[in-house]
Amino acid sequence: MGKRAQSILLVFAAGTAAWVLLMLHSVLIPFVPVPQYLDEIAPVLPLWLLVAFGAYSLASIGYALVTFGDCPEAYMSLLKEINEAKTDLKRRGVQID
Amino acid sequence: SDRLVGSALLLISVVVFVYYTTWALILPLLDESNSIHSFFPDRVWAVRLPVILLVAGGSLIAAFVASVLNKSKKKK
Repeated sequence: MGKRAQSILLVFAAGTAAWVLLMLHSVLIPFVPVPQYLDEIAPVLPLWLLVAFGAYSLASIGYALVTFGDCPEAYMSLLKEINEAKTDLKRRGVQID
Repeated sequence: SDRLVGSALLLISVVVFVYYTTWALILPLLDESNSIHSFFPDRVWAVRLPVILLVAGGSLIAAFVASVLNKSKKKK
């Protein structure tokens, strides 16, 4: 398994273990006082993480769209190459839309 | 207009993130009398809404895949 995949999986497993411990703290570690706020938000944390990840993905797409520069010369040369390919293939008898 | 779409996406994602974080994680900290609570629906919906959206989105994707498979089967 790739090194990066392994570290991601490790972080994921550690996070899951911490979350399970938080959810079941009254059973697993009965005499440790846990602030009530943590008890209230613990069930929502995975869903919040998912929403945060979705927002981050959307934001990175949006940011790339804003930052990516237009390259008109590349566009022109690409169009030219497409036309050349079309005429070449037609000459060889291949059907093109 | 790529820039426009991009900045719209960026804005939407920031708004969604801030609103949802406040809704799910910060509201429980403030007691009932705080006026901010009027901006947010009942906190139960902070769980129901994403789940509903996920199920609906997943169903859409599944329906799309099913229709594509159906069409390719009909062609054969």
